[in-house]
Amino acid sequence: MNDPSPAAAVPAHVPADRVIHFDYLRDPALPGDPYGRFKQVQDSVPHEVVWTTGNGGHWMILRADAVVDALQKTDWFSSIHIQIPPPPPGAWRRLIPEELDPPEHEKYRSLLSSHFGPRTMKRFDTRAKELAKQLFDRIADAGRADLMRAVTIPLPCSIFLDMVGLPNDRLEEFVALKDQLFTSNDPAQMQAATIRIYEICSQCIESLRVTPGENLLSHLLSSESKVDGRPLTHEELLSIAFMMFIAGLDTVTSAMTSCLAYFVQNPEQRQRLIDEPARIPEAIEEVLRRHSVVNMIRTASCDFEWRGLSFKKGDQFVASSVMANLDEREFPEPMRVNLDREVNRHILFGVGPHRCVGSHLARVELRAVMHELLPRLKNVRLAPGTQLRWTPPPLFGLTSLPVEWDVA
Amino acid sequence: MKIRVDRSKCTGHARCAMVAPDLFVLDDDGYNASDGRVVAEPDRRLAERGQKSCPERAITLEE
Repeated sequence: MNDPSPAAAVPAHVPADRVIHFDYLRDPALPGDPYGRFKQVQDSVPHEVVWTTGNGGHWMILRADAVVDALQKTDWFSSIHIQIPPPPPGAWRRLIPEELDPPEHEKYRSLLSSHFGPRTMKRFDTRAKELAKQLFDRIADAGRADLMRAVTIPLPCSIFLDMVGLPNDRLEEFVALKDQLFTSNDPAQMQAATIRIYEICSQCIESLRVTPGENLLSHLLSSESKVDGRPLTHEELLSIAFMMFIAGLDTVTSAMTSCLAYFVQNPEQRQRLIDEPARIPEAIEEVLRRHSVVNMIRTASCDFEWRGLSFKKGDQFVASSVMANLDEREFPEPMRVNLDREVNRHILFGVGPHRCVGSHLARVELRAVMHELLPRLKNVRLAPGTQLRWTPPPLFGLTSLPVEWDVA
Repeated sequence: MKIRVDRSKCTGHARCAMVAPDLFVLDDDGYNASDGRVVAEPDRRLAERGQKSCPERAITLEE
């Protein structure tokens, strides 16, 4: 279904020794082991920045130091598009704040940051732990389940919908739409999902205007939330709601599933966390360094010289957190999960002004689930015959996590 | 030893505070509010770990 695209012509400003042939969306090795494949690509060339002929042709930044540098240099590396190639004009609304650059970005981002701070998010700790407990209670006696269907989809999605102000009773419909958008890789399907998500968000905003609640959208609708001294327009609210929808319903599920999958397959490390739960927060950071989720996209906003190369306005870049987090120059033995890593400067949540605003909520939920589930999953193992598979990029995540455990 | 924070670079990852919560204080939005704070000698190693864990390279330690 996802054949690699034919090799695109190489632009004149790209030196021949920087050209590789790798389709980061459709390479056939990705569903089996996306991290191994990315690492192989990183190791295959002595350069930190290369041009790939795959996926229509674009730059790929392969090393942590250069990825961080690019994501911090927002004057050159614009966030104007989150897709390669960019969508045709008029086919896509700009996402707020993800597809804005500073200083415009900051006006909207600050409205969100105040809502997503670490202390504010701590209040979801109890809710997340209760929900984890309830969800596991439903399957505890069965001794087997797909932990993704049973826990890692419903838990973060449920908390997220409540927090944003989208109706929780439509969770399954929302998750299906999100999957259609991310995993179909079919423009018609993606377009249909996009239109439907906008319709739903629009209805929700209208109803919250009449009956506000304790949630993000109500906060953004209130008179306190202003941009350039005026309230947000419906169009802006819609864009933020859509952004929340696609950012919040997928990434935490992916991270949580990867984390559980690691501890299911590594009983000694699992036992360490059960014996010493205080180690859970840093352990999660390290497991997710090795299993990062997001491949960020940037577009050159002008012609410029950087790291010995010339770039032209409109050039596109994959500045991947996955790639950066597997760089041995930053992380010794990068393919090994090392729960005793002394320094862990990973960019799981990105870097620069677009750093994931939901990271503190994600951490609260991840910790709650590891805390509640690991001790209860007695002698847990993958279900017999299970071969774990990953969804195609742009977002890395497992497709399911079928496991068995002992029932007392 | 003194903590220096480049607030134009800090984007609120809060990694410093995860590693060394008693040395790195955050404001309500999660940004590092520890600029100028003096670190006692016994906390030196911990401060260095916090500094090195910043994805934005926003923290320096001044002697």
